[in-house]
Amino acid sequence: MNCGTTTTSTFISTNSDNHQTDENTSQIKNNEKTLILGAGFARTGTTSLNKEGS
Amino acid sequence: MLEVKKNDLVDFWEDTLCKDGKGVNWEIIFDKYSATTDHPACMFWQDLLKLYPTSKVILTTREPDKWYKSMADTIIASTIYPSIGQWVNNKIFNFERRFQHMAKHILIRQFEDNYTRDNMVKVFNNHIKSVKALCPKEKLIKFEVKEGWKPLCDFLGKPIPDCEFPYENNTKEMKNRLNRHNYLGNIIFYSVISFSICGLAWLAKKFLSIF
Repeated sequence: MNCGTTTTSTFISTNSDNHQTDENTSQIKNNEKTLILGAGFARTGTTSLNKEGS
Repeated sequence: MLEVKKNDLVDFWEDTLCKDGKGVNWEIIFDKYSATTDHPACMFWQDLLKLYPTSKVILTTREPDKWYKSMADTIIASTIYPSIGQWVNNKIFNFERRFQHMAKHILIRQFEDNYTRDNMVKVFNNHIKSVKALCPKEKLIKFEVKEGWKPLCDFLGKPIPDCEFPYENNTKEMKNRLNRHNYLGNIIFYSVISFSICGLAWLAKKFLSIF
């Protein structure tokens, strides 16, 4: 389960934004469920309307 | 990330990270949810959009330097440079250890273990560019929370709620939460140190007669 143990290199993979999704094709079944997908990084959606920043 | 912790989804995400999102049975998790935010799900937005093609994508953004400072003061500080309390918690509690491992895995994978301002801001900006380039325009909104309800509600086709836009999970709140969380680890650590000093003093007094 834990592929990355103590070394940094085992954690690092290729560019996460461009990873291939072909292997997931088999599970695609025109799912009609609509998700709201937050694609922004952590700590970007946590500040208020009126305050400057977290 | 709080949801990962609350529902112990650590093994699922650790496995997903190891597989780079390939061959993952996303429905195990996402059939139970209607929305995602934050890491780790934001790393796999393309996979989720393929599986749920009618989904809407919200790209939250903010001024990169402020984002970096917020990250450095909270997530990077607690994950890469854990406090004594967190370190003790990780040693004692299995869940803490697994969660910390997964959180570190996310950061290393996302930032290639380089937490300098320049690298993190570069990754942050590249991610925004990538989402804007790859996500179909009609499914995407670029949104800053300071814009408030209107653009968000217009995009989602929902009425504007009759309440103020929430202000939660800021740096101070998160630091307080981490401090409370590490309280037990701190107590254990300082208790061990105190007892050790007392024990050594007692031994010195008993056997060396130096007092």
